[in-house]
Amino acid sequence: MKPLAPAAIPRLSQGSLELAARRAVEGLYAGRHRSPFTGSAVEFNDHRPYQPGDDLRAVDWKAYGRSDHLLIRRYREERDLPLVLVLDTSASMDYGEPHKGEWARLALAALMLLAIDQGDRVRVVVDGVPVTGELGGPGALPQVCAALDAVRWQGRGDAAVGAGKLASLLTRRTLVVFLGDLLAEPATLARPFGALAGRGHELAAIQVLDRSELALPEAWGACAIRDPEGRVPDLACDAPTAKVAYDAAMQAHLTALRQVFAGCRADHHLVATDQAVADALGAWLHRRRRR
Amino acid sequence: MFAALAPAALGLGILAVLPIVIHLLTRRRAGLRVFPAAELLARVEVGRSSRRRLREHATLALRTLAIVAAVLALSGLMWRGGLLGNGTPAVIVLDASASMRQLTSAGGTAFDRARAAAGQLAARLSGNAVRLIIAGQPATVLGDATTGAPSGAIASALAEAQPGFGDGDPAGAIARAVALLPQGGDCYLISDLSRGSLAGIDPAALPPGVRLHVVDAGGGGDNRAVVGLACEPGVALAGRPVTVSARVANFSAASARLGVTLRVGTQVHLNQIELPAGGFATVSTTLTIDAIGAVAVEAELAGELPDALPADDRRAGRLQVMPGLPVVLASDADRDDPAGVVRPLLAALGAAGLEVRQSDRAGIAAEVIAGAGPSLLITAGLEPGVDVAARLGAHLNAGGAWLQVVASEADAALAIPGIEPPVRLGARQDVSDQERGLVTVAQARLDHALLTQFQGRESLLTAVGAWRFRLTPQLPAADAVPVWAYSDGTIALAERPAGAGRWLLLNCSPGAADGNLGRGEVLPLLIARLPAVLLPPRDERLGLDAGTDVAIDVAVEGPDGRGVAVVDGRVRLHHPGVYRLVGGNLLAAAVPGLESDLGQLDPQVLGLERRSADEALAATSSTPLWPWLLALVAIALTTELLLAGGLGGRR
Repeated sequence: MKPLAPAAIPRLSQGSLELAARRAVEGLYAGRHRSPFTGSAVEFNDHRPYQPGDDLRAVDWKAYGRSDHLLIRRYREERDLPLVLVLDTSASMDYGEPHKGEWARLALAALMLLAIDQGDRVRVVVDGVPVTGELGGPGALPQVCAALDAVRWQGRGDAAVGAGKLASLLTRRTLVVFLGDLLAEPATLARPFGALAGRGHELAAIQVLDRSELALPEAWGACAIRDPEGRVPDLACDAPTAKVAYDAAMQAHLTALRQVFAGCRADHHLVATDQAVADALGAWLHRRRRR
Repeated sequence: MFAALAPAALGLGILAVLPIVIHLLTRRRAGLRVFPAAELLARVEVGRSSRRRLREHATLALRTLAIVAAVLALSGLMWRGGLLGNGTPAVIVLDASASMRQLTSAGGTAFDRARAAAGQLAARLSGNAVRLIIAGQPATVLGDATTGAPSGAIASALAEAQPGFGDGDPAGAIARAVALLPQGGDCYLISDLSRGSLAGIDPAALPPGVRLHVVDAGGGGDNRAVVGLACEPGVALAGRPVTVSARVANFSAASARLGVTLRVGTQVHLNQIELPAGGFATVSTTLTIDAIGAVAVEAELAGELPDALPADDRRAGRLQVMPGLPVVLASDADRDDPAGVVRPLLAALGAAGLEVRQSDRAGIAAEVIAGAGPSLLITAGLEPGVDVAARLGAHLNAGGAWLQVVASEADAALAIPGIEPPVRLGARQDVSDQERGLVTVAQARLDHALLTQFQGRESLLTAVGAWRFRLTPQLPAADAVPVWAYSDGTIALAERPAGAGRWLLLNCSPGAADGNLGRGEVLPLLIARLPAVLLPPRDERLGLDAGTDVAIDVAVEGPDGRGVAVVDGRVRLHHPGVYRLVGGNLLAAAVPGLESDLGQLDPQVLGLERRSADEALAATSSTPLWPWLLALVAIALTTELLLAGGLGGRR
């Protein structure tokens, strides 16, 4: 597994997403841009001038009537919502080309950079266990990268257990972003994620899947399938004959996942690993910003 | 019990591995893949993969089954067992002819193989009524049809059975077998299928319900043999040169250089011959014998080459040296009648220098027996009768010549059952009232041996005529040679081979009242030619076939020097060789020439199949399974198609 050095994410730091993110972070600190990680809490703090690109829903129209200037509402909670990035390091992430785990790790680092750039406090949690403290500032990224380098893709990931542990770990309202393949039975996720949401945490899940997981390749033909986490014994499979049923089952799984996350008022974003990390995160951030 | 008509086809059973090999070669390789969504896949694949595995195994099994069933059908698989075949009576006919003594490449003789096959058949048919016939001379019936387990009796009979040196009697044995199967059944002829082994057998003539099966026990090995002994002239006369010849055959696929020793009495002649493959050669020696009486003749092969049938490498014969040609004139006519038929004949015989014994109806039997060798018999004015016909037939069958002079209605009535005359005589034509017109000879075969002396003197023949007695019209036999014919086309003289001898019919009475034949010089010239023309050298003349029964009332010493039992005045010449009779006479027996050719006949010429014992058993008291097997093939293939189109077709 390749170590994840900061240089490994040049596109994030130099590409359009980084630019957008930095603008957002800068806007957040400079009062020009809204951080994508702002919460949806409602305690009003102050105004800042409108910048092109700001969500018009955030414009305080009453203040505009009074001052004839477009002003954006700012809330106290927005600045105080820490970010927790949860990475699935189970053996199922050790798969695919591009590699699912590497993709998720890169995405996590990118989000980390983005958050740090805008001055957010970030913690990284693996399997419900924090691998970093609450970090912030320019020196945080190397520290996180070092922590992520130590990650090994092994074991049975259990998002439900991880979410349960996380619930006891978080003492104040937090934005929790899960990065993983979320192949567990959706019904098992409803309770722990619901508990997190019930405690006021804001949840988001970036589900990372390989294309072959989204649609079973017929080209595999007859093959023997092994579960990397050993949940099921090896099974014989004839891909051409199993494809229709599998693809349908995967769609049903995704639908069920969406329903679970919707029930938790959580944001669910599905990405395929053949998407560029920046594009995928950009799309998610864009959608999130438009919420 | 299962048996196969064509066991060799079972070798095709190896094709049964074909679908398995194809399956192994073409099946999709199940490479191992790590797949995180395996749990999800397992939920949809478990039932599906088990069905697929079941279908694949079922398809493989059905294809294999179809091939196995097809191979078994091709091999002619039969079910033979007590349930289906029990109770069918059977007769096993074991060929015991001389050719069964042939040595086979597997060791032992063909008879040993046949004996083993017979034992195998008897054991397998245990529970059926089985009898055994040893087809020797004569055919011998063994075994007990009434016991439930005849195989023991047959086994002991088989152990004692030996092949003879004769030609066997396959047709007689089959006839006896048929008689033993009045309700039908199976007849197994176990034979080497050599030339004589199917002689006289007509499967189409078998009664319904009797099935004949030919079991091959032969080997068809290389063989060289002395197949005949002969002397020329046909009658050896004391003080006259006689040529003794041996006919040697090479029944093999390679040429052979052989030494042939020819012994005549005490004289020995050695010859070296080169015989091509499948060829014949004659070795001869000419000598003069002064002593009157029987002389032993023997021809023997010597060579280093392997020989499948040693018994026929030596052949014995007997040469009867006579003081003169025995000629018998048998007539019941008045011998003193100057216009009768006897006087001109006696005159002609005398002019030809032939001594003649006269006989009549009562004495002809004794004359024929006393001849015991080649002789010329002339009948004229002889009264017919059953005994006369029988003696005439015996005379011809013994190789004698018969000049039948038709001078009366009685002469015309002489007929031998089973032997066709040279011409069938019609109604008598009496031309004496037709202005005493003379019907003369107008056509003659001057190239015929009887008439060559008339070349340039045809007028002698054309002067011959009949006016009172002749018979017309006449139908010549297919192999008859007309020699003379009258001007109206009626045949006057014709001859044909009959039995082992020759039959000359003269439809021209030499009686003075009947015509002018007896007056001129034609009749003496004709009579003088008779011995040479009617008694030519002939194979087998010097010996009898081994196994022949001979009526003898004196003590006999066999070829091995031991006495031979005389039973009811008869002696069977079992072994080849020279038999010495008290009184100095000799008899000789040899392996029949037909037995020496070991080349196998194809029984299919008779519409019969050549089979092994197993195959014959499978084809008889058994049920053919191939229709069921073919049905099984069809069912298997249809089911396989349905599987492929059903389970396999839905993806």
